[in-house]
Amino acid sequence: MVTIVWASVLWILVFILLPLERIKILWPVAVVSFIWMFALNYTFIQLGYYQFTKYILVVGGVPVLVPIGGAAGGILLINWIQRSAWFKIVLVLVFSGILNLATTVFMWFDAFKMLHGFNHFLHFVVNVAGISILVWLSLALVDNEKIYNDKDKTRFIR
Amino acid sequence: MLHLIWAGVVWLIVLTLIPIQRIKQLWLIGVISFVWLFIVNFIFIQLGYFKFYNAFLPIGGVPLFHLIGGAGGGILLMNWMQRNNLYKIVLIFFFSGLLSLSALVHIYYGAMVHSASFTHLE
Repeated sequence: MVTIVWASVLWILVFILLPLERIKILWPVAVVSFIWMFALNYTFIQLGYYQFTKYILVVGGVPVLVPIGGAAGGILLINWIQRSAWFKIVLVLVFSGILNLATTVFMWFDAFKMLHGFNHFLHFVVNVAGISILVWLSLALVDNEKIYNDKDKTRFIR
Repeated sequence: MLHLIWAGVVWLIVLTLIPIQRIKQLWLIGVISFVWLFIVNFIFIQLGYFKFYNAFLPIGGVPLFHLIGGAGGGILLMNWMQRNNLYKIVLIFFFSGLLSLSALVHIYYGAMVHSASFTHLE
């Protein structure tokens, strides 16, 4: 149930906030976010650092709806990215914090368990590293001019 | 002793491979690397994830020469940085691997100890 809410909320946010044209530009980011989030989760689950305990459809221990939600999260992240290196650091830290917050909610609902000394601090560090790599991958895949210079990035916020 | 060797080797590579003019351009990266390496090491040491031993001049548990070596490492990293984002990922992975390898050598010679829950993956 939590994984359905996670994926739905993120994709609803994407479709409400981003114009369709912008989503079309950023679709490769969704694909790479899905694959990268699956790979990271799969690695950490297999190494015994954490596990998902409530899910609908699971592949290698990773509930499919988690990377599906992550794909939308990746689009939101890259949608607001800017050229400034400082801005990139702040954005990566904010999105890592949001992921930690989401994990806390998952834990409240007993859908996620940290194991063998893994904790919120290490999770945050992993999030920062993972999201940084996602930013570079996305910037390598999508035309940077389109990412940075599009005037219609967000429907309601200018 | 090992921290001295670490700093000596890294700075020898910097001074051998990089022209002085280039080092002058990148000196600020040396400072940032020193500070950032200190912050990261200090936090992880305080949280009990690892510990340095046989340190000469430790600051908050972080050996001074470990940071001096890290400053040289930062200059080497940024010296070969390129605009291409995929290249950035490869370079970061490569330098992360080198740091893990260096930690392994430190552990091997008893200059560093990881806690039970901290592994080379982190």
